[in-house]
Amino acid sequence: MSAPLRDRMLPGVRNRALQLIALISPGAESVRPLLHRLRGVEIGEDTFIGMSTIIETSYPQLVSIGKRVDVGMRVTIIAHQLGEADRNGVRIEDEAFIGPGSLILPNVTVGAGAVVNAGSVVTRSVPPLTMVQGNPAKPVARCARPLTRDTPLREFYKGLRPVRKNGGRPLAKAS
Amino acid sequence: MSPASPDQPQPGSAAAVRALVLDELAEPLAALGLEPDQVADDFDLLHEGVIDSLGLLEIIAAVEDALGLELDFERLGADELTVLGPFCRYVEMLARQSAAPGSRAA
Repeated sequence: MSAPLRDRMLPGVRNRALQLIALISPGAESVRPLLHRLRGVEIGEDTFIGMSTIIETSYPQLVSIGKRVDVGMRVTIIAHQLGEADRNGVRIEDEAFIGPGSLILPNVTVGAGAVVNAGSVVTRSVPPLTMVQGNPAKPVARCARPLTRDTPLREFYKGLRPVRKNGGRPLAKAS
Repeated sequence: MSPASPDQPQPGSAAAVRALVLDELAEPLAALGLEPDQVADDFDLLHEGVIDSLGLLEIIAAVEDALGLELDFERLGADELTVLGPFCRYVEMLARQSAAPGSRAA
């Protein structure tokens, strides 16, 4: 292998090897964040990275995740589009909650304390303290408080306020 | 509020809120084989898998639409939020407060 080719290949191989290990390693608040930091992902303290989560395979440095964020299992974060990598990115702010199986697409900011419900496809930025749901994810509620690991679920539910579609019901029944 | 017929509970009463909530949840309750009159006062809608966060939002929206109120649950115990009886009585209390003279929500 020529030196230029090796120099191009090795960082990519290392990056993907770390991603693979992070998929199955234990340590949602320790080993997995560490492995992704080594890849170049910016991750704040006390952030939880769920099992089988994929964080941007090619350009991990385009992803920024804040403090006390909860990234559920099997979340996929894609931060770049072909030919646009120098302009793309994903930013997840402090105390956001990303539900299991969600897909976060490029150029999205998930605001502080926002909640992405499980299985959602987030194509647009989410305001702080807003709950989104669906494909594409749409706001369904405003949240009085973030859904952190220290927040009892029902305490969180108490602070939910419906976001109404066109002045009607918050969800599909309204349409 | 218009007067209720003899067969109908007074709008805003716990009984009326209960009927509204159970009507809203008729489908998931039926899936569990439950008729509305079989649902106990201490039935926990979240624990029994009848609602999730979105189901709760639907109920809140339905009750707000029916009563013309904005519900604030900060004074309700967290463990009671999704329990049918306490939820309905709490809404009844809010409805009474909003209807009281001098209330900004009335």
